[in-house]
Amino acid sequence: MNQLQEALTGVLVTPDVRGAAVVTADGLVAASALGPELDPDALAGVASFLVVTTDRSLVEGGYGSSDRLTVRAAAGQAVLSKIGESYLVVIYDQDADVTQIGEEAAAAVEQVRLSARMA
Amino acid sequence: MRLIQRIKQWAARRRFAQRATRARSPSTQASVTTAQAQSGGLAAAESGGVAEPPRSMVGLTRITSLAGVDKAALIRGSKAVVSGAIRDGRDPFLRIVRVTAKSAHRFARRNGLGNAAETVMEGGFGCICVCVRGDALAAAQTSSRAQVGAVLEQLQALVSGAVGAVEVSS
Repeated sequence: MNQLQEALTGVLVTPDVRGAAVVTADGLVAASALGPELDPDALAGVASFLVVTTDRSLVEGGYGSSDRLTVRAAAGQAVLSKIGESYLVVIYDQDADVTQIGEEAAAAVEQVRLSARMA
Repeated sequence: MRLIQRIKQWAARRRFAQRATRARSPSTQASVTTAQAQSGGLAAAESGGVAEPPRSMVGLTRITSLAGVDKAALIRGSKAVVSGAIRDGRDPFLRIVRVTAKSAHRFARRNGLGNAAETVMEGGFGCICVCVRGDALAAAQTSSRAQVGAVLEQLQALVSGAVGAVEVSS
């Protein structure tokens, strides 16, 4: 198991987290630690679609790209954080604490960034 | 001749009374609200009186008055009500909101998360918050010093009101 995978497995231990994955902007999975209900390839595909379309519209509008994207849905929440050219996607339960999510996601990003640098 | 004048006067009185009754009835008030919501809050009541500002406009003004909020918009179909630092209908903010809401909806559905209700984008520009309910979108752009939670609450209330106003009429 490489260090990136270890870092993601560490994220999965956090309560309310259903899964985490590092995906590239072109929809490839670099590493993933997801629950059984989540398909890594499908997640990577739609996550890249979301970040690419959002970033493109932001850049075209003169806003610059986004660093973090949070989606709150009826049955869960997702945080997509930029790490260099890739994105860390963390899927949370619906009842996860909103303020805690921000801190946890930032910590996870830092952890993954460090492990990616060491690998 | 006098009879014709009397008939005209009677007809005018009757029209006035009908107008007054219509203005008092709650069903008509709901339909005016619907018309205002559908037309983006720009349609004034046609009764000839002083038109009240539409509820959506009041909600948007309340959001832009919060600390750190630059602009806010309520989008429904091809129509939008805007408040704050938005130049015109070609402002990129409106396009960003629509594109992001659509992508987030797709992301959430494909991953089994259900319908995406709130999307928040953070970056060097500050923060863009989008709330969705039905086919209505409410969004606001804030600086980093704004309280995003409070803005999202107001946006949810606004978008729920916009959907509710049409549900009353149908």
